[in-house]
Amino acid sequence: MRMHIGAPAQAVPFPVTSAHLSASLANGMPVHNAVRTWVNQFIVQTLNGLTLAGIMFLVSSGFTLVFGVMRITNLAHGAIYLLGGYIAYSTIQVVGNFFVGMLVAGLATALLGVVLERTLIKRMRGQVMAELLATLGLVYVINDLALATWGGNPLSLTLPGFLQNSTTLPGGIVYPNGRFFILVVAALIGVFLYYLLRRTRVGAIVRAGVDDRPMVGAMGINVRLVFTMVFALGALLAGVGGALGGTVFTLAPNADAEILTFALVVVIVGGLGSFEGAVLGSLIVGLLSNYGQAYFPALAYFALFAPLVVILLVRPQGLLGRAAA
Amino acid sequence: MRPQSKVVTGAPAGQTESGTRQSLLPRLLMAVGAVVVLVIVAVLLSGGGFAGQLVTQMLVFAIAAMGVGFLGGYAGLVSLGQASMLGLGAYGVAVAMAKGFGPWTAIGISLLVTLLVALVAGLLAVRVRGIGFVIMTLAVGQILFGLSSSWVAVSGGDNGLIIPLNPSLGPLDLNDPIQLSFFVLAIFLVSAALLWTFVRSPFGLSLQGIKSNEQRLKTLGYSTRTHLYIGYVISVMFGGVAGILFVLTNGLITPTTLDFGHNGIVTLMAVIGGLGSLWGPAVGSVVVILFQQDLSLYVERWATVMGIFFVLVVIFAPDGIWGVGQALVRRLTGQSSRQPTRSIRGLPEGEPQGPGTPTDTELPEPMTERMS
Amino acid sequence: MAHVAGAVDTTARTTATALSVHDLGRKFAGVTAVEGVTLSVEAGTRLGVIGPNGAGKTTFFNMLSGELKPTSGRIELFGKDITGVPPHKRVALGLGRTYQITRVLRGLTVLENLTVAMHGLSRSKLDLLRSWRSYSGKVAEAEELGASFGLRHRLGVNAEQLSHGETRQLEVCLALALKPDVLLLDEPAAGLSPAERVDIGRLLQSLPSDLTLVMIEHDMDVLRGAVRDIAVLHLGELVTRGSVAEIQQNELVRELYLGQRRQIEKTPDAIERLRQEGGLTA
Repeated sequence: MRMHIGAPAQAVPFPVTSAHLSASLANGMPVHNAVRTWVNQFIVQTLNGLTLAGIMFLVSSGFTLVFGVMRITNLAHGAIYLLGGYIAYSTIQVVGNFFVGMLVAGLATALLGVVLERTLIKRMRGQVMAELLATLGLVYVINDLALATWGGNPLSLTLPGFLQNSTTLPGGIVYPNGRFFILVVAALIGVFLYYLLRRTRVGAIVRAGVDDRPMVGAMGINVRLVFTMVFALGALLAGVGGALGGTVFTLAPNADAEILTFALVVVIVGGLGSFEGAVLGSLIVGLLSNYGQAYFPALAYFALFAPLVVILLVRPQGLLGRAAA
Repeated sequence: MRPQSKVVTGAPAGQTESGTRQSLLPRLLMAVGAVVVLVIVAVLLSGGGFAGQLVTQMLVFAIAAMGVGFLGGYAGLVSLGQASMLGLGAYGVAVAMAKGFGPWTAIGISLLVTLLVALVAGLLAVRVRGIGFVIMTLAVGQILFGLSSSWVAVSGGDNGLIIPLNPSLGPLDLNDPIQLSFFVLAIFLVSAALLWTFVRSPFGLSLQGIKSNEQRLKTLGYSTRTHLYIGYVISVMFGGVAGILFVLTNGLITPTTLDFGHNGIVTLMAVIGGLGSLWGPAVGSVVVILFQQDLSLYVERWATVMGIFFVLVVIFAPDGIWGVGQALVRRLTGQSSRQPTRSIRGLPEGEPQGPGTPTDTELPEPMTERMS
Repeated sequence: MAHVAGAVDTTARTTATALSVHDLGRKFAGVTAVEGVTLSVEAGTRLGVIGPNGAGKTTFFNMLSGELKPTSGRIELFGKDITGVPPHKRVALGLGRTYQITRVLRGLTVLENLTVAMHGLSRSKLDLLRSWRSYSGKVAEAEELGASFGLRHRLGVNAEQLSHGETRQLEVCLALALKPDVLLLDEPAAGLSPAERVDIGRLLQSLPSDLTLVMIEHDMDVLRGAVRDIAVLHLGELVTRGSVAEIQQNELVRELYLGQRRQIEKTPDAIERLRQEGGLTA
């Protein structure tokens, strides 16, 4: 998997990998220095893993919500992420402001979600596999249109000035502000979503929809509207994820497949349909995957997919998934 | 040639006069059509050149798509990882030859490796149904994709691997493109014949039963997981065989062939053509490759057109092109009853993350079972 | 005095006990669906199971057929403990079942449905090479089975297109195809028109006489013609058991069904009293 959070470019006064570390020790570095260095490096990798988890959380929470409420597996979710990133890029080109770019990306993808839901999804009346296949077709459409608009060259989003600097943490760790920003945004959105789902009436309706759709309809709630809103929310989260992700990962054709794969592994590990599962899954998969890539590059794949395999063997419904439909 | 000809009158299969007569005309049409197509294909192949190459690729991908159509249409499990299995088969040959094995040995090694991967991946894959299965196959496909590009020592990285030499089969020199393409045609026909046999066997019937109602099959004495496992392995092997032919006809294999886009395309071929029909996926392969080759000459955004076409097929023609054709023939020959559809509509959702067996925490079946 | 059949103890009997359950129970989170059911069924006899809705009858059946794991107790089939045996293996041991919400194989014809069932207990179900139609013995058996239960002219029809009554008939045929020794029938007459009920009644009477039958039903007419004894469940417990005539005259049962005694006190004393009223001694 190409996606991992690399060691921050500015942050290397000390050895980055264990190999370097061993070499430094061999060159006579005192042991306590080496240990502290290793610890610092571990902290950096943990932060990297959390950043990756943050982006994965944004993408997978949208995916799992849509699945939970509407039983739709939106294979185009990764493409919407990519689209969000691209739209943010163009907006930044025009307006020069990252935050506006992120906002526009989210709104645009949310709008796209509304359109898709009203035109396509509605026609398939709950035929789950048909919906999945239809979203597969959308992947090609979105990818191709994106290719036409933004070309095939990898793009990156630049963060506003102050976020391009780094902060020095106690212990001598230097970490880019941009990544803290991602962590903060992801955490804020996570808290907001949690509040929305657990503490508001709308959230209760959504959760009820996950548990028992026909009942919700029977209670006189406009289920259609709920569906549209949920789908739009899912798309919004993907779009915002794309804008943020675009600062760390390059945006290019095929990036959507990678992020989709991550999201799928996360939701399977966490449990399809479970919001808390998306949180837990993101943390597990993000951290493990990043540690794997950093410490055992040759086995990086297995770091990503090992949780998937273990879950399928031991608890196929996911860590926080419900056993029954 | 059609897998099963259903007699839709009330009489037992094939016993009344009118019954046999009604099912004879479509069969005759099919046979005539098949001969015509075969002749066209043979002519195009013997002409060589670009057209011959194109038809050859259609046949190669048709084999892969048939694997998807078999598992999806008959067992109800849709795979999104078949291109990766094709790639695995291709890499198997290429890597073996790069390590110095002769072409036939390399082909044998490739088949063995594909079989092993199928056996292992299958153990995991059949633990889930419906969407969960789709995701599993996607994940396996992505693992293979990643390996193909990052395990540089073995796979040659992003540049891929080249085949130095094709084998010869007795008097047949498979280095000659035209002879090779007829070899591909032969393998395609053998694959189709195998599939036809499987579908008509008790095993094939059991898969359809599982697709209809897995729980019921269990209470009829079937260990459904075993049956699905076997079906999965068969489906993957079709992909592997297609991969061998792919690398022989193209001379090289790169990681791109295993990416998500290609995996989706093979599934697209099966669905557009028609899941659950023997020849549907082959038709789908022709249509999709034509999109890629011919449409791209006129329309730069051919992929968008293809994507939209696919969505329209899923919504309006869930039986695929073959299904539409069947419906047309039925109307023309006067059979009006609806045939059982083995289409997208019949795909079981299943427990996305469970094998379909109630666990300890599940409520009794009748309460959650949908009223039929 | 209600007749007590099925003693709990396992002393030697002159007839074999086909099916017995001991203290069988099933709890879900917060709900006890079935509790402490103990009964046995002699081979070749026919037992009806009745009870108001929610009495736990289907849960009970689900445990018998293996689709649900009991949270307490055990199940024995011809003396062999099958409590942990998975459903497809119970079938091989001779236990068959039909479903209240019919589960025929839609998308397949009647003949294909029956053929699938025919192969269920044989190695031939894994045959990849021979066409299923070439198994002429099995196909003929399947045709005959269908014909003997009123489906002779519907063999080529897709199961989706059958009428409700025909679907029920197919449902029973599927279970019978496996030549069970014990057959569990879950409300075979549910949802049928009066005419169809007569057909089902006749079908039930034409079942092999050595087949042990346990049947959940609400329709007394159907029961009367088909079973010898009736067991009554209420709120997950076995309340009483007796012959058809006895149960029809039983005050308690009437009250349960007619509503005066919807709730039974669940204190041990009350249950003991009930048991004595109903005539069960253990």
